[in-house]
Amino acid sequence: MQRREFIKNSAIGCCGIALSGIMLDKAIGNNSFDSNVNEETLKSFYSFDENDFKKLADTMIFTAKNNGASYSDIRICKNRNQQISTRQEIIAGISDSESLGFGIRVLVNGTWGFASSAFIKEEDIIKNTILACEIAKANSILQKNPVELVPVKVYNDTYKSPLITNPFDIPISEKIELQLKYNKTAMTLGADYVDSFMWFINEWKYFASSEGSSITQDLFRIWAQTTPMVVDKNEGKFESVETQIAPLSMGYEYFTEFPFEKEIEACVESAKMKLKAPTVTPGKKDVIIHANNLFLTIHESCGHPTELDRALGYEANYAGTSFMTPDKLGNLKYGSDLINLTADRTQKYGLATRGYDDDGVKTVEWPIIDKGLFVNYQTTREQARIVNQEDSFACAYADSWSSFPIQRMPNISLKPSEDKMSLEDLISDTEDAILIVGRGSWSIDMQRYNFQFTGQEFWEIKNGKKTGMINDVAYQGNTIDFWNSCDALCDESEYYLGGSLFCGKGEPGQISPVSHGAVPARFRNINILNTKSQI
Amino acid sequence: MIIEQDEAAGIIEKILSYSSADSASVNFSGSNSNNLRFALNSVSTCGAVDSVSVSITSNFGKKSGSVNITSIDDESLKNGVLQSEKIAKLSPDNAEFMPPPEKQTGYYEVKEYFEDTNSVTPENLAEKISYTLDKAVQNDLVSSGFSKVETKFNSIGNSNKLLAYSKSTNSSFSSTMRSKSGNGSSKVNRAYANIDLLNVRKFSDKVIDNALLSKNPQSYEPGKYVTILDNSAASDMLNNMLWTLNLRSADEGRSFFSNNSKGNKIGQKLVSDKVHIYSDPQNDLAPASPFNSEGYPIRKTDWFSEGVLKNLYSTIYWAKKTGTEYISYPSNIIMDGSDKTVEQLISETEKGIFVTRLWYIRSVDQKQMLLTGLTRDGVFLIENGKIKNSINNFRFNESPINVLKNVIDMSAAEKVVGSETGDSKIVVPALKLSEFNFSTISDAF
Repeated sequence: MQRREFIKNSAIGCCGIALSGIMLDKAIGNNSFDSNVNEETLKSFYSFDENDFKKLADTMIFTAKNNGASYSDIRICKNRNQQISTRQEIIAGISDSESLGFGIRVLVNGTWGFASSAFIKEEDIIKNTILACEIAKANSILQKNPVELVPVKVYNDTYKSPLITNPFDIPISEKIELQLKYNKTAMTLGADYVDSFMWFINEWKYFASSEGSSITQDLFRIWAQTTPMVVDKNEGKFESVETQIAPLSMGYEYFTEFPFEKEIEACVESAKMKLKAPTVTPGKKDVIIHANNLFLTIHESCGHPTELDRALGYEANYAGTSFMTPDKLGNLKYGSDLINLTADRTQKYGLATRGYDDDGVKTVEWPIIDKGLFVNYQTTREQARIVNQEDSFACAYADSWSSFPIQRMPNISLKPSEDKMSLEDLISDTEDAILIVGRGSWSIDMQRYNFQFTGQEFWEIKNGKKTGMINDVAYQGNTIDFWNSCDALCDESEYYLGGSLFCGKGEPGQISPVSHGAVPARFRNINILNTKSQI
Repeated sequence: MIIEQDEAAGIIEKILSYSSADSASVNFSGSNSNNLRFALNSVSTCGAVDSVSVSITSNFGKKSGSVNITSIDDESLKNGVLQSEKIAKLSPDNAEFMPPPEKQTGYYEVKEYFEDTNSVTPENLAEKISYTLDKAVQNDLVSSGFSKVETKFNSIGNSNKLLAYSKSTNSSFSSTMRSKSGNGSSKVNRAYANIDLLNVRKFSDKVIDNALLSKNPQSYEPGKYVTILDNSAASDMLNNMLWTLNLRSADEGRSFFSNNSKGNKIGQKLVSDKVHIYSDPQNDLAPASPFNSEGYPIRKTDWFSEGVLKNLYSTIYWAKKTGTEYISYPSNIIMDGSDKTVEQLISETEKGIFVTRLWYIRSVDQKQMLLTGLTRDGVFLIENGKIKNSINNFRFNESPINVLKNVIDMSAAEKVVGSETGDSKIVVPALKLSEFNFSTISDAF
């Protein structure tokens, strides 16, 4: 691409404004792979400065306004993604991806328009702004509910995930070596196979709106998991147990913060035990669900149904709707009095934590379920007015420059008991139950009533003691019955922040990272299935 | 961004010229797309995307590294090559390393590109959808949906002189119609390379009829019943099985297709004789890529024929190690049907359940290939060859293998999109089953 030629010749589109070419000189060829790779030749994307982005944003805003937009915003995004995967001593894949581009959102006649491109040049900014306005105009023939945004303050700010060591500063060889060491630990202890992966994610974005905000954010996420598997070929059986150290917004200190090796050893032992464990007797049972399983139940049965767009029907064609419809706000007894679920986009290490959402709204904390009562939804600027709120809860998110921002889930966490209660105490207090540990498979209906979850490990509890491992367990329930059957929670000493990097929603499909804090909890009279006797 | 064959080959050659590795390969692709969403009988979000992607893999001896970028100026490409080489050099030897394939010949000719699809404008898309929205309002239903048109190119080249290129289009339309009472729902989802096959009016009319029929469901107990899975529901079952047709995990004893103490189940009769499942990039309804991501050809391959497992897909490494013929993972999946319509299947059923769609399907037990999931957007009770009424949704616990074992009849095969089949290209009949395991009631509609 003839960069300098382009800058010289860049005409001012039909309605753009003339721009100096300075930032373009830095922008194009904007590969920003990290410094440990090649110091000599790699130019950093970060050589862009705030003024450069502002100028590109000004071009967009000016063009949008001239094309009839009452509101416009731009996100310039760089998503970096490093993945390492191995099995046993074999490298399964090492890759480093960087996706760079911009997305422009405009409102014309109360209808959204959106256009995006991987080519960050003044010419493309103008072209795509005009295209976004044209799409909005074309689609406005279908518009029956013009979009109205609740007001937002103007911010000029930056935000960076708190981290000690930037994972992209660590040489890839060190990461591979660490992972192969984990695999060796598993194999030495008797695993027949072991699969491991590491993810390092950096989401950098600049946001500017026609209302005057200009926000730069630099977000980091990390995850590593090892899954040992043991096979009994004679019996034709195999079992695996995954490590349960969750993805978090954290730096490379993740690997010293958590006892990976110890957990891998425990996984191998558990997998061996699972091969020999007796199968569960199905029926109604009390269960203690460990926080590293319950976080996902929270995600599915509280996180998704309290998304306002789902409740209103905006996601009916794919993710589904919600049983928690607006008429239930403030009067649905969602759970027992012990249940407090709080949404929080400011929580330390939370995957959905950031300074501002993709509407440019500052992030906050707010209650969703208060002493069992359903009190709030998750909202964006477009949605807040629908439930008569003056402010958005800052839940707009787009997973890439090429995605339209939609309402996405904040970190939603279960508040621990204020009374002292360790997991051991809870087990001692329980007569006959199953302890369910670890995230297994999960499935829930499109309105979020009926769910069925498995786990990694299942233990029988008799007369206050863990008596032995059992296998083939799934628990199935109805959201309201389930949360109302909760009669005991552990205290904050058992708090675990679980999460997922890949929560799916929207069309075209988008992923979103989100965390859920939980403590182990006891639920009475839950439907237990034997997964070996279903067919 | 769409780049034509010669120019793409030139860019790949340029990228490879920057390489100092023992061998290297490049995947170069790009697309232009435009989409429109609607909900509550009105437009909601939309988007045009102009994207490009370059993936470079460099190898030194048995070490490799890959990099993926979204810029194609010279400097970015040089840096991408350099970065992939750095990663490769820093990596340990990979004992299973295989060099990039030699130049391949005899790719199937596939017509995946249609100018009519490529030339759709945002106005065209909005006009098509306006029919759906108007019809929904006239029938007192609440519509939501999604439509997208896309043109893509995909090219592959490597230092062994392999070159492959394809250009394709895709057009899709899906819509969910819900009754205002909230207890009736129906959905249609179709995608074709050729937009002339995407008859939005016909599909809208059909989904509206079904939505009206689905209102006021009666409660029905869970159990094992004679069941007709409509094409869409069948496609989800088939797609879930596709992931498990892997030779290596079968050979290693960790799949349903493992033959316990040794090898795999190829050659065994596992499902009904009526079942013929295969892949063919040249299928008219589901034209698909004639090469895989490494550039190896994808050829017509039988998976099940007369109920017998014929093949499992593999990697070049595993094929060499086990001395078997290398079979690539497929780019589409086709199950042969009959001449019957779904209506005929219903009319020939004395008593049974008609399931239109499935949802949130997850593996419960890999060894048995047991899946759980739910029904969605319309379940009906059939009595004396007629749809009697709509009934509640169910959770199921069932295996695709069981489904294929229990096939007693099927309709004509159609290209459909399931709830979780994504971009998979699937042609499948509706399946009439001697039984299907509905395990609990779902209160959702």
